[in-house]
Amino acid sequence: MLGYVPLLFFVSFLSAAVQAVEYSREEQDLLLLYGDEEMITIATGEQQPLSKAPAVANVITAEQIRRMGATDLDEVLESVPGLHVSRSASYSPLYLFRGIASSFNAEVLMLINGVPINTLFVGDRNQVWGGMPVQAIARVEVIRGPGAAIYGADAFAGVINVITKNAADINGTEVGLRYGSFASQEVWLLHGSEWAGWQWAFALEGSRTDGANSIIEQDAQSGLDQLLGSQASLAPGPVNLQRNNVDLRLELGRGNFVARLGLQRRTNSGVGVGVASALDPNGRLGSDRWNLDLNYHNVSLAEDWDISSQLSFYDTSQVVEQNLHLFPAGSLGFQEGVIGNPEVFERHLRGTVSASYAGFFSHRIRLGLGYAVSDLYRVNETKNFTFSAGSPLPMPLGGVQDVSDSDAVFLSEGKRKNAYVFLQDIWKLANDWELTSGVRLDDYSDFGQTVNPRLALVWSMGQNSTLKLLHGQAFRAPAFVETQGRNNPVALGNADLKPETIQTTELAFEYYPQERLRLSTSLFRYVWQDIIRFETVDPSSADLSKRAQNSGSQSGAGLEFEIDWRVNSDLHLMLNSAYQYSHDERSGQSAANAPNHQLYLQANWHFHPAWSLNSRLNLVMSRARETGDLREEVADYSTLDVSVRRRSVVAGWAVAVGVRNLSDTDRREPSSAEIPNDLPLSGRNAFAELSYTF
Amino acid sequence: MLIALRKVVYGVGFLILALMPLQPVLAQQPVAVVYPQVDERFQFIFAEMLKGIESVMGEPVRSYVLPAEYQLDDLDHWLDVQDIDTVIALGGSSSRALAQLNGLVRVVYGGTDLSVSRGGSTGISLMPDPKLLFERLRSLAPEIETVTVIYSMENNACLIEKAQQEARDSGLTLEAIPAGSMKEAAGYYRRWLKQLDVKKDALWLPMDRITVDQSRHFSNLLSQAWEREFVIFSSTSVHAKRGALFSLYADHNALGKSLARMARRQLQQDAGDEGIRPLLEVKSALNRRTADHLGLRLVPRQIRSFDLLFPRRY
Repeated sequence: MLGYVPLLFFVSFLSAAVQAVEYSREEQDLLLLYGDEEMITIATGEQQPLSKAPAVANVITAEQIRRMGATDLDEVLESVPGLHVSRSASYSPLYLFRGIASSFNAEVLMLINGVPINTLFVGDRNQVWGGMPVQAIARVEVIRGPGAAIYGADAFAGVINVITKNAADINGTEVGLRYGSFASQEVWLLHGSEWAGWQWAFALEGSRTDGANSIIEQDAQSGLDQLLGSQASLAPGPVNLQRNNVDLRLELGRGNFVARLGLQRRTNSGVGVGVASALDPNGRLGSDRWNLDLNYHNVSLAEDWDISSQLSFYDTSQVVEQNLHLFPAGSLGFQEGVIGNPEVFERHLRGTVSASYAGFFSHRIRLGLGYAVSDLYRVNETKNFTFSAGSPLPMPLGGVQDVSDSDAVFLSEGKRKNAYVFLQDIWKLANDWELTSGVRLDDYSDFGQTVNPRLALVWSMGQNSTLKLLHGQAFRAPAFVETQGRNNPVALGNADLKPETIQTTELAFEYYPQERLRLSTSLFRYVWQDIIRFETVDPSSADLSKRAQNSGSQSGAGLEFEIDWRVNSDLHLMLNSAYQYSHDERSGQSAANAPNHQLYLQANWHFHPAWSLNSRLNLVMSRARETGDLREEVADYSTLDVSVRRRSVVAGWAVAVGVRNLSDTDRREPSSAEIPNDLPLSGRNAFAELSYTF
Repeated sequence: MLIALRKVVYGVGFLILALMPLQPVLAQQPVAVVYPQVDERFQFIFAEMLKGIESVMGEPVRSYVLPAEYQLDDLDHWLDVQDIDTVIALGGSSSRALAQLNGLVRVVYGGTDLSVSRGGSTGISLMPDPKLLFERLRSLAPEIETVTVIYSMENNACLIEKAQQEARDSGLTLEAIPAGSMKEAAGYYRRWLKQLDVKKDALWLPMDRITVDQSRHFSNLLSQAWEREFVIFSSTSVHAKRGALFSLYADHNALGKSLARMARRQLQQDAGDEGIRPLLEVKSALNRRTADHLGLRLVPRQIRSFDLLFPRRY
């Protein structure tokens, strides 16, 4: 049920905002000089690098993030057309692009400063994600559609590249504090400066929260209780989302070199609804994610040449701090509960070099190659259960035992090596026509070779309009849980898996009917094949275990449109809407869990020389269930977030308060049928922050 | 471990917050900055200039924020109490206010509406030096022979005089047409559009509130430029974003540094007025889409020499 209260709020807000504040003579002079308010921000900010290839993309800058009052990356991403941030049962984010949904969301590539952070384990960003704070983010680049011809594996449904602030972006020191609902506290310290020819940037962000205590009415154990006549379930009970975060980033730049060191530490992390969708108030997880990368970029080595290379190291872990209860005490005859503590450690070493040459008439050629070694170097597991062959029911093991390095562990350790080469040509066919052709060949040590091409034709139709036609293919590398999982009867690996593939065709049109009004729309169509799912090998046999298989395909089509309208000097409206219709080819039914329709409205009203009010209305609509799931369609929802800010740029002070989900809407993300009432998201919550820049 | 780390994080944060009030009392330079109170979105301009000034001065400078409705006596009193010798005036209202103080302090002007002049004052106009514009034009479109500019005597007489010489030095012919009103300027634009040679003629849009209309008029010029494929370049930063081939705009930090150096020179006993010079501290913006449309084959080095590239979206 879509609430109308947020919509009414939004409309009344707009009606108040259409009257612009009058500028002083000084401000009018400055406007003459710069043209508009946006140009002042651009002219006093930093240059943004150009994209590597044409795409349907959005860039959200630090200034836009600040204006919208976002405190986590997921809030920023929700504003992107065609992208909805859903949740898994552990409440990790699922970035659903254009109707493409899966359990671990491995079809989306996330990069931090160009370095992939997807895990080898399940293909996500880490099961102990714990959010990502935004203070150190310079901008977020989001590509909808495939990017495999440049980025390789997993640039499938979309690519999210987070660029952190460098010395010039910070240019001084910033300290800040934020307090909010759920006992949330956050502190940050940023510094950027030049010293002895070195540009150095430092960002430290620390936070803690108890998490929203939304109530799960029934969990997986509730179903077991009904079946077995037990009373073990802890439902109704709260979701467990407490966590402590430390995010550290250090960047050093000199000449053509940039080196970065980063740590994302997550501790005391609750497990959402629970590892097996049964409430687990005491289980705690942790994760350390270290990155170190060295980048070299030279544009003056030779005329017409542009050389760049990157050497990166990324180490990511998932550790158990307190026993995870898959099922609570008293469940299935386990007095202590069913305890399973999986830990995974992996590291990735990557090197890439590319060169661009523009010496041919009308052509710019880019050639690159790279090599990556991904090593899932340690798997630990302690547990108090085992499975007998073919049965999904756990059997007591006689206390919690360490099964690491034994045949009873849930996952094999192992390495994956990937060598690749890519070639791209940007050809100016005529003054207003540009054709970009690219192809990338990847060779994997475990599943062989894959070739992924991309074509993009861009036509500058007129002074105010551009048309793009894009076609590309991408692949999603099988995760190790899918190739090497074992001893878990519902997640057995299959070493013979092929990568998932997708073919996407897009038509994008951008039009500026007036200087302050931008309209853009994109139409897309895709075919997703060889989808990897855990399925019963032979439904007719008594063996109910599930093994990863390339199973079925999904196709979809849709349209996204955006309006960006600076109504007057003080009111900036952004609207985007996305429609997608995808269906599972095997069942013929609508693809599950991703919204068929989204509407996102954002208004930024600068109602006073020092004050601004931002309002965001988000409507998430029409989410189908999985085939065979008889529950009603997931309920639609709308939320309104409002934040107000006061800032003095010269004095350096800024204060902000914000309220999210102002109307306290009951909003839910789809769950598996084991959690019948879906995953509740936070109700009304607020924050207040204070920062000082000097 | 985590608790200890958290305490360090919080501790460092609070320590910095606690020490901040000490900062202003450290400054004892005889130079101060006066800048206007403006909407926070415009404050970036002055904040960047201030950073540039302070980087040359080596420490924080005292500053006076001039309200929109200011009292001259208050400013005068503040300068007196602070024992200020030289003031850097940022913005138009600061410049006007300090000019009214009739030489009680020495002033270095960094105003928004300053006309270039040869003497009488010291400062930097925000109008880019025509020499820099012509150099860019020669580099991007070497076949251009004649540049036309329609300007007002009131705002740009001295700048255009300088531009004539710079054009000759750059191997260009400058056709400078004075106009007294927007209506008159519009007539000149129409006449120029009828007779132009799209291969050899280019139009320069100066910073001039009398002859350059920011809205409908400019849009019409841009449409014509797209259809007939001729070059428009501009002294106003936003024009490149909207479709002019290129524009120049102030490098605020570098401008602040130059103003600070001027102020230091003014502190010397025998310092004379240096005049108001055009802006040399510039950044540049290129519209790549327009360059492609005009068939300009730019090499990567040329493209990289610009600070901003439009369109920014891809």
